[in-house]
Amino acid sequence: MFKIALRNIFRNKRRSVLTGLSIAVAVMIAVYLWSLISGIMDDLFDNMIRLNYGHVRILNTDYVKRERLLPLEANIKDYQAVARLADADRNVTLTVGRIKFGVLLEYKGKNKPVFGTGIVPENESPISHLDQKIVEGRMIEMGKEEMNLGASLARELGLKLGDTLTVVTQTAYGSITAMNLKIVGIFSYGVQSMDKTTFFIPLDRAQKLLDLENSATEIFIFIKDKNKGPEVAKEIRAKLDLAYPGKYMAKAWQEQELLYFYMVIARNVYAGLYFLVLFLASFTILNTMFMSVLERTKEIGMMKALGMKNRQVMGIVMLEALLIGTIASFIGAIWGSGIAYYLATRGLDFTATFETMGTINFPISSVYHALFSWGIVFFGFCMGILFSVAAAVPPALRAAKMEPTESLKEI
Amino acid sequence: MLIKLAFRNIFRNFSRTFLTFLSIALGLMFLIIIDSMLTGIDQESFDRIINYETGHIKIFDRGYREDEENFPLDKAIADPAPIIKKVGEDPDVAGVTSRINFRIMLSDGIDQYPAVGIAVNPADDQSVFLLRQAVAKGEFLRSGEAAMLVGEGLADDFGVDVGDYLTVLTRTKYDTYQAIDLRIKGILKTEDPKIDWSAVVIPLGVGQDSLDMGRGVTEIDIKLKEPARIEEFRARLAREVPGMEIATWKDLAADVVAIAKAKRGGTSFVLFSVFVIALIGISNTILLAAFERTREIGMMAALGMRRGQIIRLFVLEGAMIGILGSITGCLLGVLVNIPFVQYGFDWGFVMRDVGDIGYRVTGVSRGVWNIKMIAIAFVSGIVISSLTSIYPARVASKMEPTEALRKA
Amino acid sequence: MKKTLFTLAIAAWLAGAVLAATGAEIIRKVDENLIYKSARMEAKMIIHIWSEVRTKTMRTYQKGRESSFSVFLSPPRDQGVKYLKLKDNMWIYLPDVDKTIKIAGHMLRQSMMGSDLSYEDALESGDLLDKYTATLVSEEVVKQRPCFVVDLTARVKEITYYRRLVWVDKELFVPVREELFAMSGKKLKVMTLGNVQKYGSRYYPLYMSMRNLLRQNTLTELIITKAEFDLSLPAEMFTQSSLTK
Repeated sequence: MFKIALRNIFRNKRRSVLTGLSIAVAVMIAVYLWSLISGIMDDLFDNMIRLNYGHVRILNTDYVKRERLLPLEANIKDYQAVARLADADRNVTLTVGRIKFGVLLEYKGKNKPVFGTGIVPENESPISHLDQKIVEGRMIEMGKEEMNLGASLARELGLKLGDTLTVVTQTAYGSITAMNLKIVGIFSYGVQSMDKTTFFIPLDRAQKLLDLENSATEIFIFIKDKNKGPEVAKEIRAKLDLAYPGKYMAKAWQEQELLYFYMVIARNVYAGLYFLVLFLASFTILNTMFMSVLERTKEIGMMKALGMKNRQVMGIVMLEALLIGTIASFIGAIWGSGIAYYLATRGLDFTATFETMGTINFPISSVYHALFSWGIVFFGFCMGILFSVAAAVPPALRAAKMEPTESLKEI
Repeated sequence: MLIKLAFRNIFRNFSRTFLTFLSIALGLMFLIIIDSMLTGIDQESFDRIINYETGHIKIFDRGYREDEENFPLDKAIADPAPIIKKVGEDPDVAGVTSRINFRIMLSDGIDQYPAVGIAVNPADDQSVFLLRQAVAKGEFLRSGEAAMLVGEGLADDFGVDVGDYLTVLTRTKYDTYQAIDLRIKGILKTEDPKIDWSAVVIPLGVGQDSLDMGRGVTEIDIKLKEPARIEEFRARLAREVPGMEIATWKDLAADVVAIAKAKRGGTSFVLFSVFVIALIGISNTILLAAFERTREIGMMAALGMRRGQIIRLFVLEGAMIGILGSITGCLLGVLVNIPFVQYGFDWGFVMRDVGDIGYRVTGVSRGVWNIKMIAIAFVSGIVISSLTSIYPARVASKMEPTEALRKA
Repeated sequence: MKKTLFTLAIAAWLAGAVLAATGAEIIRKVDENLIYKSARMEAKMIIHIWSEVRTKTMRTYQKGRESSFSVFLSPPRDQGVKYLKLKDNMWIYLPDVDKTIKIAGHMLRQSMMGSDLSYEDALESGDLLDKYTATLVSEEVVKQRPCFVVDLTARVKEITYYRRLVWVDKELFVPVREELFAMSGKKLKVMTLGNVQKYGSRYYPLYMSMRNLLRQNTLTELIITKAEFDLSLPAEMFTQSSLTK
């Protein structure tokens, strides 16, 4: 039976190729579109976690409401003791204090608002991957008056490695304060909100600059399973409430309100879109397959006339569909993964467009990278086969039921 | 003769025709819906900016824009009335109003938040902006009353509601401290973060008095009847009101335009893919159907039909199914799209599993009527189905009738 | 009847004029106490902020109302910070970075050293009577001292505080309290003065407190620990070059 099916497929090459082409293209598009969409979304969430929120974040209760103003006075005193509370949790893999502050950089008589972050450099690589994002120079070191500057910002201000920049800002208590910081490294995340408006300095220098000895404004916590964010946050909250009633609170990245909300919406909009595309793709497969089987009514009649049983006829038709579906889906999956792989490694580059834009606090990369995953490829492959076979069922049933003479009559 | 034959052929094999028709209709329907959704997402941010912040075009005093981030009240239009009158008489103008933008600190006596004050003219603000419709709770302002509208986010920050009082602390045109206690008359919910999170709206007269501005305003805002002709209008406006600074919404919202451009790069990629699927679906169905008719073509040739006639017959059949499919597809696309454009799709439900996040958010994405795309879909449906019919007809009609008859 | 009304009106007008005159006179007498050719002071600034107390000490040199030069002595992080004020301009020298910053534009409105005073408050100079119309509005007793209450309402547009109310000690002609108002009449800041000491023929308050009513739970106190008046100060002290010295 397998032989007959195979022979049938090769006998009418053109039909097989056309049917297969539809299936392959549909599978291909399903594969690379999903890769691209999940790539963009993963990048967005990943950036959000690594750059803005951590998995869980401890904040001063007063900080939460006014976060957009970066209120330094609402800080975490003796932050290491607070961090130790979280460290005790078995889900927690890393805790690290940070201070984020606003600075008005003056250049050529114009003021440019930028954000500085005080970090512990040796803890930074698992968080923001800063070590991998340094394109020139090296990372800052604790205790030294040094900074790592965003590439776009450096270009805009005409600063280069080795230059010293005076950062003037206000302390947590409102005094004017300043520090000379040497640019020892320039980073590029490919995220404009980072590259264009931020710099990193060692945490202890930030504490000195801002009159925040032993304090941090936020504690980033990383946990084993990021999906458990809310649960872990809840546990840490309970501990905080016990030790510092009403003073500090913990928030999971999923609880980060507005930005998270917009991202979830974006993800769902794209998922909805993808669903529509998938629908169209599967319809295309169904329709082509249906047509292909339908046009073979005569052949089926012939088979029956030669004494084949209904079940056998159906089996052959289905087997053919399965064969074409499998081969075409395989080809489509390869094409799709090829494109997806290209998009994953090279990406769709929108840097030029993002360069022209002002400061927006949306951590989206200027290069859209697809997420290449065999899971997606496999899904596309299975989808192709499934719809090919499913599409063959009704015409196969019909053909099997037909009287031989009847089907022969039809053209 | 040919038409009649084509008609007969179409109806003779109903399932074949129906499948081809279905692939065209559904392909186009999806194309239209997906495009509408994508364009909607792109358009959304523009609409927000235009409806709540920029209008289509704005007139400023010379030098205002350069210093814009400092809200320079001394660079105001001292006597806007003649300009407003002149602009209002222009046949291309749908509406004109004037505003004062000023920097404020909003305070409830405990907390202070920096915010942006907007003094609007309640009499004609709605001829350009949609603030009146954005009042989610309470009422819009009336001229001269000591009241304000605050963005939902700000109201949440302070934990205040309609009827409560807040103090607006600002500086007059002459830099004198000014502090006015105003009753919250309405809460604004626009989905535009600049409004929802930092805007305080007061009546123009109250603004002019408290800021010591006389009859001055910082900007005149214009809405056009045909936004597409904005550059043409800008040039004319520059001649009509010389010595002023004129900026279109595209100048004023350069960021958003840039983001949208980047997004469009992504969306056109998606759209292109959708188009490819639809195209392959349609053409392959037609090709399959046509090739299966090789025997039929042989028959026709044997009956003495010329090659040109056969090809024409096939193209005609393809076109007929194409027209039918295109009409149905576009119609279906439009019909399915109506609720989507009218009411949008609310993603708000998504947030239920995230838990209480402290404020109400709706993320409604709306479709947009993109006539151009519907037209493209319609035409390409017909063109594809007619053109793809040529090839199999040509191949088959090239064969000797006997050979063709033997085939399949 | 008509005549009586007329007389009354005249009388009221006259009384107003007299009150205004006394208002201006009171302020003039206050200025005699508070304005000096030159002065050197050491002071302690105590800032109460978010249930914390921060103390800073400084030495200030002043020439008239227009120029002043201050050096911070403590705490360590502020040591060596210098402020120079010349008319409407202010520069801050930060020793950590060896840089001079000019305070201008929007920065002027910010709080000075985290206190309840803004740079603008500190910069205020020139004669009050050039900018305000002074009217004696009433008399009150404040802290057991009988006082005149003088209303100062702006008569020029370019002014930070539209209205001030000053309580002036009737006997010493030193202000004991001052309230600053926005144009709308809302009270913004309250200043109290005390510990009046006599220096030659002048009386000078050595204690001042300022409360910014728009900030919650904050208060700034200024205690002058040492004051010398009308001494000769080198002119180059009030130049930008003295900042980096």
